[in-house]
Amino acid sequence: MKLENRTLTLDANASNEEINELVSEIVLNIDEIDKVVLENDENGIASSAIFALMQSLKNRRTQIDIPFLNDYIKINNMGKVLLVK
Amino acid sequence: MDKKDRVMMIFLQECREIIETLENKILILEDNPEDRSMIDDIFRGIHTLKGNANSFGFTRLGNFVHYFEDYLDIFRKNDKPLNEHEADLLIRGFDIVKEIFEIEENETPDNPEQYDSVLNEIKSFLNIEPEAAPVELDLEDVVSSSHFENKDITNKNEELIAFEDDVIQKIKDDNLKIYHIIMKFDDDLYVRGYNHQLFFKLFSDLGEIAYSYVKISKDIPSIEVFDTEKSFVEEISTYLLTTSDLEDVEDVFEFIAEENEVEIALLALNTIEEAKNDCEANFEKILEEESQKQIINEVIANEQSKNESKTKAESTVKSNDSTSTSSQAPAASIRVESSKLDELFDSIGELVIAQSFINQSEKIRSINDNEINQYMEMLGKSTKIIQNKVMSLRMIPIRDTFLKMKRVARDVSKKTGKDINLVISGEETEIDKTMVDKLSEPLIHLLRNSIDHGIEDSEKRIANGKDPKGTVHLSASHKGSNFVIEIKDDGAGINKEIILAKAIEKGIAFSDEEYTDEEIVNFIFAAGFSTAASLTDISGRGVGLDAVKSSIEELRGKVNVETKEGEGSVFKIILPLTLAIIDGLTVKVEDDTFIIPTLSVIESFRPKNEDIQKIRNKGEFINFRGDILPIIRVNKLLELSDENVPFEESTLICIEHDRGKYVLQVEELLGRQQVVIKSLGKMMKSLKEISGAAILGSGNIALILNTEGIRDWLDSGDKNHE
Repeated sequence: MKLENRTLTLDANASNEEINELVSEIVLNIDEIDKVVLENDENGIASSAIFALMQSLKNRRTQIDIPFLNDYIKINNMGKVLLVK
Repeated sequence: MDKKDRVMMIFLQECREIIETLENKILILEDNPEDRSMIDDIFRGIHTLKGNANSFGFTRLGNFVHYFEDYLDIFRKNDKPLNEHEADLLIRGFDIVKEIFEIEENETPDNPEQYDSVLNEIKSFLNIEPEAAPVELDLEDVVSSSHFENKDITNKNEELIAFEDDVIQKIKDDNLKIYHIIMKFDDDLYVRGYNHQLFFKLFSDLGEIAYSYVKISKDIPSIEVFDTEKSFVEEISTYLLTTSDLEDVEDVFEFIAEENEVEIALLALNTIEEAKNDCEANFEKILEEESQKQIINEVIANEQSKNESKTKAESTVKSNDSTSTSSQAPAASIRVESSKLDELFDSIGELVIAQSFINQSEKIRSINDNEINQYMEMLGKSTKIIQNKVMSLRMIPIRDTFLKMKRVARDVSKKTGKDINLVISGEETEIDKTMVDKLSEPLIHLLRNSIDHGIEDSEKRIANGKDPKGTVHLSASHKGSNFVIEIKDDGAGINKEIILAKAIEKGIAFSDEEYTDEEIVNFIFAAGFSTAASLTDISGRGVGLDAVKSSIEELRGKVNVETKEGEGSVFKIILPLTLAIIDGLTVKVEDDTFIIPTLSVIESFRPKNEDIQKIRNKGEFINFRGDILPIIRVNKLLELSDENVPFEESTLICIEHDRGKYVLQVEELLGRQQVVIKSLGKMMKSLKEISGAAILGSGNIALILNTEGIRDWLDSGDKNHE
């Protein structure tokens, strides 16, 4: 995970344990986040928990732009992915 | 409003119209269960509704309508008439459709109360008769499988229409199979050591995933307490393209699949193409309507702009240009916002006034030129034609409102256990649309009242030598410039003794006064009057008929009742054809012109002095055909002057009112004419004796007398006319 220019980049390879560890850091910096993107998804993503994490983030701070929640995103192994509410 | 919003608005409007049309058709079908064309019509409507709902993401509506359509399909395909129970389920099912539509429109989370029970009944019905009417899964061919859920998992139209052309082409070129896989694992998935992603890795060995839809739980915790102990991914719906067989796909779940956790179906390519075609057709239809709407808006805008420029140029000769423009308007039916029609109607009202102004102008008359006279005549004729055409735009048949009453009659009949035959006639009679919308409530109440209080129980009817089935006749007609609705029942009629006793008990009538039969019957319209022995949820709340009366009077109409004990009652609603124009008598009072609505006028006459009586502290009265009626001097009522105009030099106008006739004294009766009503605005609202104003052909303004408000003033005892 990295937070640069108010953009939070999540690693698609993060496991459930790693996602859990990320949460506390995200909470601390949540007001600094304007956008969330995903990287390293060439080989798919490691855990579906990352989808729930993004939704939870959006619920907490609605002004965060998470393109994944609005439109199809191409992820290897999963094709074009759309989150459905 | 962007284009997407506009399309959504059109979609919602179309859904509303479909639902309204279907409601009427379903009631017709209930009466004629063998009417094949009606079943076909309803099926088509429901099918369109389903397509629209799924296209716009109204999945709850789409889901319910999907099964509802299957239910209808049984009767459509098997030429099977509906029995009473089946018709009842159809009606209840449709009620749910209406409710879900509202819920979807308002984005309310909860389903209708009866949603599950009705859906289960429908599903149960579909399973009961699978052989008689096989339920065709119109989107997918489902492949049987031992431990995978293999029911119809196809209510994913929005997913099918998302298939892109290049993906479809690839499927064709490589002869790929399409597997639709839905994974619905419990939230302990991660604890069990699994993750959806494991399966995706295995899928990639078989082929390529085209699309995945990840559904996240609504109960997802906030980020502060988020952890991955639980999976909040409720469901993943995915589309695998592969040459592999079903067994290979099932093997992916070899170690996990428990019942209901995974659903796999082989999807036929043509079902995707059909779904896309349906969707495109829907969108094209909507966009076409949108485009037509834009065209008519442009035509109207052009007309307005031309009219404005013509006015500036004071040119009347080129008026034919505008007719050539309007002839280019599309002939097909179009949807126009009613507010735009109102604006158009107002503009035409102004045009009529302006034309009338020109016609009566002394300056123009004095020109006395043949050519100008010809143009004047042309202008008059064209104005009249335009006025009539625009008037007709607002006029719609009362049919849909009447058909709704069938449903009301059905429900009240069921609740009361009374067998009712509702006969409808004159449903094509046209009335102003704005009035139709406000007529439903009073009509519902009168109809409920007729069935609940008017029609007797079948035992009583048989004992009275009547058909055990009660008849209520609902009819509409044009009488003169009025629109008349009658609700006639063949019930017990109104018992005047009971009514009078109740009126006295309620303090509405007095035991030491004598009342005519008409006055007694009219007590039922008094506030707080109720004769029901017990209050039911059908009628008899004591707030009913006076509310009906108020609603009708708001529409500048009146309601009355005629009754014959043992034979039945007729409630008659008399309304003007439109709210925008009034038919009135023009009268002169103190050099001013006033208008009295002719609907309220019984007669005008020159009084004889010997018929006038003065009663101290009560006022002036006239003996009018045996009735002693109070006289109101309009000049004093409106405080125009204190002069007592001699009666023999004036005209009296007898006004009909259910609280008693009265007489207005005016100086002169000028004539009768239709006028466009103008509101007086908020400032003048407190003037209860005046209901509006109209601009006369002379350009003068005439106030419209409010016969209801004058009666109120008379009843208030504030009589200063003595």
